[in-house]
Parts: sequence; structure tokens; C-alpha cells
Amino acid sequence: MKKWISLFLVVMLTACSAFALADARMPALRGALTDEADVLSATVSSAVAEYAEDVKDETDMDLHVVFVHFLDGLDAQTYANRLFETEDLSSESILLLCAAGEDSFATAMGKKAEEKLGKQNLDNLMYTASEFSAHIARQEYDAAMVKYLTAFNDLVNKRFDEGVKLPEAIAAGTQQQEQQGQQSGLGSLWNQITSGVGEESSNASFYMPGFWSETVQGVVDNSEHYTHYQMEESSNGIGVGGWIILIILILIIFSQSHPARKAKRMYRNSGKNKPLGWLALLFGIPALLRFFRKH
Amino acid sequence: MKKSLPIGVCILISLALVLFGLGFGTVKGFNADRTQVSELLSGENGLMDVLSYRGADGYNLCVVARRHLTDDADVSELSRIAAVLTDATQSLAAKKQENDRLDAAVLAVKTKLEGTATYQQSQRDQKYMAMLEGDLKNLSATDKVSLYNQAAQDFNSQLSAPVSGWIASLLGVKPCELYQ
Repeated sequence: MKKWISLFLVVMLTACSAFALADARMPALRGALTDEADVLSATVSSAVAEYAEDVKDETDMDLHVVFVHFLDGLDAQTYANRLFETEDLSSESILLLCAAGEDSFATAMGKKAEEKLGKQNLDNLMYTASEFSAHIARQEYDAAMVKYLTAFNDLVNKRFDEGVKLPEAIAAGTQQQEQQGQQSGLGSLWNQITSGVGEESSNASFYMPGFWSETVQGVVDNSEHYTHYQMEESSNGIGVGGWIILIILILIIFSQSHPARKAKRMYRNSGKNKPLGWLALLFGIPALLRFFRKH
Repeated sequence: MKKSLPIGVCILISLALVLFGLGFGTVKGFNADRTQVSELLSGENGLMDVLSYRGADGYNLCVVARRHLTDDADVSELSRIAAVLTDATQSLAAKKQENDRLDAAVLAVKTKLEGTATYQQSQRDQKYMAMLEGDLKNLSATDKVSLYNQAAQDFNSQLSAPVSGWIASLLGVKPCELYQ
């Protein structure tokens, strides 16, 4: 029994601490590839997008690749899972997340993708089934993607019994790597590829991820929203409409008083049936006036 | 024959209605103001989020620093500060205390990093340092603290003002917590 109670407490504490951690900044996905770290070359970027489209057409699987610099204190798996949820990705989706500044990565997937491809298989793609992890550790992001997509394509073709072809740029990159005995020097094409943290980028703003700048803009917008509210709403208390309704209610109550009823009767008998007279009668205004005149 | 009310009862009912109208209108107005001030504090991209983003930058800097410094006290201190700033359950006062220490902690880690040969050789991490410092500066430049404090002070002084403020206080409208 004690074991169960301790287990329950551990689970609750873990859950609480997970919820206690504030939300990390996350990018909005822009299709198959979201390279917020700006570490992939144009060639590989378009190859990733092209390949994801082919996979979608042939298998219905939705491949997303996301590069960020940092994870804001979360571990890669938690960040990937949260991003998957935040973006409301479908059950057929696979999200490969890589944090370039932290040399870490993770895969999140939907239920159908997990059933079709296998969680273990997808996790293996980052390690044993490809040299993805080794390339990431060396900040060779293009080469890492080539390796990953090649291994991913093998898995997809095997599981779906399909013949999805890799884009030419990826296939050529793979061949070059194989010819060179999978050395760290990856051939002319891949050696030319520079990452977002390469030598040529000396300006710090070059690194500032777009969604971080958007966050700062969001902070400014939040302040401006308050300033606009302040300008529009300057006073508290009951409004003009509220006062009008209140006065009408009070007049209706007074019209039910004894002197008001008496006045109404007298008024009706005197034959003054014009609309304004009726309105005055309804609210008991003559009775009120008489009451205040007497006192 | 319809029953009619004595005029005294009518006056009492009317007074009750006036009081209800006054109370309802005042509380509604004050609550709307309070919601706006709360949005500045805990709404999306409010002050709490700004503190959390600054804490996240602190965490990110720790990742960079740990590539060059092992078991370093300054990095541990920065990590502790970041943990408080990103913890949604921490009070505003606790967060303020740690936010005031953040810039000094970042500077201490940066100074130590600059003293290591591996950091001096790593253009990548020097650029990450510049990026994180830039983001911390951008977040501070939004001047969220002074805007929130001003808004909270204005609201609190309205709440302590005669008649409408007193009515709102009596009816349970609470003052806003200042960032101090």
C-alpha cells in the first residue's frame, strides 16, 4: 500500500512540476520545414520540403522538420511533444526537432504514425539507423538531414511497401558520402554548406530567431492594448444607459404608490387622454410632484 | 381592485435600486479595469511572461556555458535564478528579486567564459552569447515593469478614492500587487 501511495505522490509531483514550468517560446510551423536557426542550406531546405510532399502523397504521413537554437530550459522530447500539441498536428504527423545551440534533438509523432512506423524505429533513425546524431554533434546540419531522410525513406518504403524516391539533392549527397567512405569531409557540395553559426555571420542579430523577435513584439502589443483601453475607458461607475434604466424603474415603482394611483384616476376622469398625459400617468409623475410639493 | 404601495415603501425600494445600480456599476467598472491591469501582469506576453523569457535566456546561456565550464558556481547560480523566473508558481516578489540578480549573474558567467580558451576559440558560442544578451536587452527595453507598476498604482489609488473606490473595496474588489 505504501508503495502505491509513494508512486502516486511521485506521479503527482512530476505532473505538478511539469505544469509549473512556464511555456517555452515556440515557433509557428511553416509547412514541412521550419528552420528558425537558419542552419540548413537552400538546397537541402527545398529537398526536405519536396520529400515531405512526396511522402504525404504516397503514404499520408506528414513529416515536419523543425530547427531552433535553444529549448528555453526544456528537454528536447518535452519541447517536441509540446510543439506537436501546440501546432495541433495530425495523428499521421512526425515531427523531428533539432536544437542547434544545444546539440539535442527528439522526435514526436501522432498515434497513426507510431502504429505505422513504430516509435522505436523512428527513435532509431536519429541514432543507430543513421549518423544523424553524430553530424548534429559536429554542427553538420545538412549532412545530418541527408542521413536522416535516407534512413527515413528506407523505413517508409519498407513499412508501406512503396517506392518513394529521395529528391536528387539528397540522393546525390548520400552517394557522395558513400563514395568518400562516410568521412567527416562530405564532398564538395556538403563542404560548401555553411550553418547559421558559420564564420561569415558576425552580426548577432543574424542569429535572433524570428519567433523571439515576434515575442518581443507581442510584449509591446500587450502594453499598447492597455494604453488603448486606458484612453477609451476613463471613468468607473454606472453608465448613462444604466442611469436611464434605473430612473425608469424608480418611476414605475412610484407609479404603483397610493397617491400616484389616485392621481391617475383623477387624471383619467378629467378626460386628458393625450399620449404624453398617459406617459406621465404611467410613471406617476403628477403624484410625485404633488408628494414633494406637500412635504 | 389593485393593491397600491405606500409612498414610503416606494422610496425604500427606489433607494435599494439606486444603491444596487451604484454598486453593480462600480464593481463592474473596477473589475474591468482590474482585468486590464492583470492582463499586463499575467496575460499573454505580460510581465510574468517577460520574466519567464528572461529566465529562459538564462537557461539557454547555461547550456552554452556548460560547454566550457564544468561544475561552476556562477553557472549554477544563473541556473537557479532561471529556475525561479520560469517557475509559474513563484510569487511576483520572488521573481522580482531574482530578475534583479539576473543581469549580474549573466555578466559573471560571461566574464568567466571569456577567460576560457575553448570559448575564445568558439565563434559559435560567442555569437550565441551575443544573441542571448541581445534578447535580454530587447526584453528589458519593452519597459514592461514601469508600465505595469504605473497601471497598478493608478488602479490602487482609484480604489482608495472616496465613494466609488470605497464601494468597490467594500464589495470585494482587491488592489493589484505591485512589482516591488
